[in-house]
Amino acid sequence: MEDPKIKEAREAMDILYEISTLLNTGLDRETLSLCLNLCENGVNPEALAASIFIYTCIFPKSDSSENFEEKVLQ
Amino acid sequence: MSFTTNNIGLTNLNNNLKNNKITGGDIEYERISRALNSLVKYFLHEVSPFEPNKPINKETVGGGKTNNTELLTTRQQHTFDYLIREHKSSSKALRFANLFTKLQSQSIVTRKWSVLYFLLSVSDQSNSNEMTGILYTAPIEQTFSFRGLQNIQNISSITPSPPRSTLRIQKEDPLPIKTGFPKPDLDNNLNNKYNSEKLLLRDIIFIFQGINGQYIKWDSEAKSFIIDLKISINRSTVDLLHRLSELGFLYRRVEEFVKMNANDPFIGLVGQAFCSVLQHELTEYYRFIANLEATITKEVDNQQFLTNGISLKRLLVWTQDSLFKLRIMSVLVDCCKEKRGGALVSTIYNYTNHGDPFIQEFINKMLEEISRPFFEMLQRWIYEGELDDPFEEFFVSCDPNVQEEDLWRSKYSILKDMQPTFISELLAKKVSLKYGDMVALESSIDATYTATSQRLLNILFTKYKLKEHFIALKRYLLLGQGDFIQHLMAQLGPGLGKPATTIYHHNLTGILEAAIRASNAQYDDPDILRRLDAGLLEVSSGDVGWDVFSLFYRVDSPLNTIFTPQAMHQYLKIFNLLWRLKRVEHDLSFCWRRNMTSARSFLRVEELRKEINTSRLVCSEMIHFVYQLQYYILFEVIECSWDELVTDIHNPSGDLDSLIEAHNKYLSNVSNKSFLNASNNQDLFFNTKIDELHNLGVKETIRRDNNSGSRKDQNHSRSNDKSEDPKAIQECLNEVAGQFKSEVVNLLTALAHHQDTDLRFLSVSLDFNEFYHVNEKYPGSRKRTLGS
Repeated sequence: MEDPKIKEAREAMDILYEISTLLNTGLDRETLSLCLNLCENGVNPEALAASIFIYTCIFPKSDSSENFEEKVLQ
Repeated sequence: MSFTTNNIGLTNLNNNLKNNKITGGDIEYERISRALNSLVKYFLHEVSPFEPNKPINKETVGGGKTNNTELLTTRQQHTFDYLIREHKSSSKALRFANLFTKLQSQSIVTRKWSVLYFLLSVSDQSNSNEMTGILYTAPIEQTFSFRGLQNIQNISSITPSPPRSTLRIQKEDPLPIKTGFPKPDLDNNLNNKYNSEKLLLRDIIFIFQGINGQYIKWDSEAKSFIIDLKISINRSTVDLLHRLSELGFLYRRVEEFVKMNANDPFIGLVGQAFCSVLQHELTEYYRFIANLEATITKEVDNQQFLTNGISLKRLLVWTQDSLFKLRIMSVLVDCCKEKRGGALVSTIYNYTNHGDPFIQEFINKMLEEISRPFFEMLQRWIYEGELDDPFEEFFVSCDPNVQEEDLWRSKYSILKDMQPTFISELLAKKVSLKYGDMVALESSIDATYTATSQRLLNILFTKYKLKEHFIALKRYLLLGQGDFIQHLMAQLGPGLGKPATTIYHHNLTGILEAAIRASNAQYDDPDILRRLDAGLLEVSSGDVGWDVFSLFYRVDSPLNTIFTPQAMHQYLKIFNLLWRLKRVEHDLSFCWRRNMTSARSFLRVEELRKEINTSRLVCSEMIHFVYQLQYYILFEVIECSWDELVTDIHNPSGDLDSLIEAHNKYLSNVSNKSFLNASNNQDLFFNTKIDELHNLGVKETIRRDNNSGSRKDQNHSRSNDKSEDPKAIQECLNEVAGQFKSEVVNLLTALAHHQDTDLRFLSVSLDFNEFYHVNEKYPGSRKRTLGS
């Protein structure tokens, strides 16, 4: 059986992903989980959103997240 | 909040990610998340000293954690409200609300607000993505690129150079921090704003009940609520207050109407029901207001409403339903001011066609209550035949002045404007004519209508012997009872030859009694015989008894519902025609008898043989005509119509109306085919003319016979002047015969071109051997035919 914490995390993830699709954010599951991690770590959500926005502007959705990382690191 | 806990959450989420993704990218994700973690660490350490006011940093530092929880929940609430508002489509909002509550129960996500806020901002951006994309890249080139605006994403990914994008990031970065600034300021201001809002909320509760508040007051001149200008509130709040005060305004109108009319006897039962429904709705409204007030007081007292937020805006949303209801009620009050009873019900019924299901349902509910007294009235009217309508609201009205004999026709009438639109006219007619039973459904009305009709007809036929009366009328007025008429004719004959003024009613009655006693009519029901009466029509100068004599049949209520004066008048007309025919026949047969008896005695008088023969021929010609006509009227017309009438009477689905109709049809049939209809003036004219001629002819013949009889006597005594008379007699006879013939020919021509087939058949039966037909073709040969 899974660790209850992992299960809980997955549930939370499911809910948030659903909200995200409902809000039409256009984020996929992986990106979302990364962003959630960042939020959990105390990143300013507005700033994060802005960076996501720029990222989606620069890179079409087909690009892998590695590029994103590189961009952010720049 | 320590970093370790965050790390645990992070690893959990990462594990989650791993579980979700089965492909071999696990190591990559580890790497990315680690890089991100370090990146975040780096940024946080770097940024936090420079941005002490930033709310995020506060939270991250975790110093004012307890203070911030409230703020956080408020923010969550705001975000939530915003999301709800954004997503107007209810199913989405509902789903979102579900997810939101689920999320709140999750303990693993500690920064729910920031997560949500992040999602929201991303969603906002992705909505405006395309437009910013155009601005961001070289717009003109793309707009005019041959694949158009749709590929902007693709092109934009190629065109921008990396330095530009970094610049963008740098520019973008401080922006959210700046926008983050106003939030604490806003929070500080909120207290003031909430304080004023608190007062306004209290005020508005009063306004909802039509009572003046502290700041908002009812202006009776402007007929609206006005806001005290002394307090300074911003425009949007004023607007909100205006919209909220509509409730108070509508409430005042409805309440005013209810108060005015609830105890007014003029408004009637339906109006009272209307008022009671309105009152009921107002009570619901009071309950709602009381709840609101309780919530507001509680929140204001506990200083809680920052969190759960009863605001003017929220109030506006909450009161939407009540506002709609009050609006409808006020509209109804407006349009129903002057209306009563059925009219009121139909006016409200018209609103049930409203497109909004909410309003439709509301109106239906109201209508059910309002129409209750109306249907009660209807029920009593149908079941018990009682018109229980103290305020004259029902669509059937009773005229108490109407006499008993007109009961069926004019006692009850339908008031058009009181008739509810959902009761069709046909149904209303049936209701008004019947004492039956009913539910609102037409089908059951139909069933009971037939049942009551049957009962009514049954009563008429058994108790009032309707059928017997029909038969009696046919027998006596339409000369069905041959022996009786024969007797009557024989008895009356001598008396009626005198001028009309010398004939008296009592003599006629005596003769009538004698005729009844002498004929089979004596075995008839004494009740019917009692109704039979002889009488005189209006006497004009020069009339002889024949012209004015008539038989009457007395009918009283309730039979006069069917035997109306008009119907009786028609009977009378038919009787007169038949009576004249009968008289002609009677005279002719008398003449024939004389001819027969005198034939032998004149046998020896050679000179008169020719004349006598002519007179016999003319006589038999007339007899033939009269017999044919009589046969036609008595059998073809009366019997056929009678048969139809009998079928109609025995029709099981018939009711009194159809019976009356059948009877009327019967009468009009009879009179039409006997040339009595006023439209057939020509026929009538011919008919009377022929009658006259008959009389003339008969008289002439009789006279001639008498003359010849006397001449015969003279012959014996003085035979010298006998050569003169026969000639004159012959001429006279010829003249009469010629006149008769020409009239018959005219009649036949008219009949032959008549629309009615029966009448054409009559012309055939009158002229079956084309005797007159030939004469018509060769008018010159008439004399020869007569002479032969």
